[in-house]
Amino acid sequence: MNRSLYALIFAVAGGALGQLLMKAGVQGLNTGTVGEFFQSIVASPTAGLFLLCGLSLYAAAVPAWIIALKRFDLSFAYPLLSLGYLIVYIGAFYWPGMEESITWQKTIGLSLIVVGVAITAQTAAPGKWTVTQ
Amino acid sequence: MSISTTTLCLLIATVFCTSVAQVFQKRAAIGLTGRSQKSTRMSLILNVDVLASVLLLGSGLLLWLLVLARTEVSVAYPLLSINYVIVLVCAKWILGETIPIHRWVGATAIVAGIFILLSGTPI
Repeated sequence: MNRSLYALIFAVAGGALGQLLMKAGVQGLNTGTVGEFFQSIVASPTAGLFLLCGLSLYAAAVPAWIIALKRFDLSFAYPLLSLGYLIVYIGAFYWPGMEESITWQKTIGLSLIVVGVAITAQTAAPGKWTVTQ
Repeated sequence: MSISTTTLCLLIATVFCTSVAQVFQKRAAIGLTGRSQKSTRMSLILNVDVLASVLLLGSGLLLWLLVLARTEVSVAYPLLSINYVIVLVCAKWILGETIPIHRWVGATAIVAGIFILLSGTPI
């Protein structure tokens, strides 16, 4: 049970951190055309490094998630995965150079999504929910 | 909405790739039940479902990087939760599953949250 829990935590945190690293890698790059985009990645001294770290972490989170799903129900795992959104929200605010805004609109939108995921992921146990469609 | 058409198209393409990738992830998880710890690790590396999932995620990530360069990550990342709604709709209309009503309530909350996120920040 412990190993699977670590796998789940790694999947959630790794996914969120991977996203933050990837954003750190691509921010400020030229997005005119795909060609220009890749040229600007090569031209930047840090973009490639951040992207590589972010992608590696994100890719490592995939098998960790699958291992976690072996033990845990989706009704437990999915809501935890959406907590990754909160990690990114706060992380992007504090990340040097990124400093994305904290707004009421974002907070409300995010909260709705997290709550929505938690509700959607719950199983329909007998007696728990009486209306079906 | 304050999102450019190009960014929206890139986002939709990304969501398509990641949604299908999740289907393969679930197939991999189902295929693993009953295996020992040791055989799990090796079979994960060679597993077709895992490879397909990684390939699709690779394509999705490429598209995603373009989206990330054009948006704030704290707005863009939660938008991926549209996956849950897509899977729900597919389960109902393609697989013919019976969906308990609380799932529609949750899906509505997710869509509402996404709408609020998209309409707020200029991206």
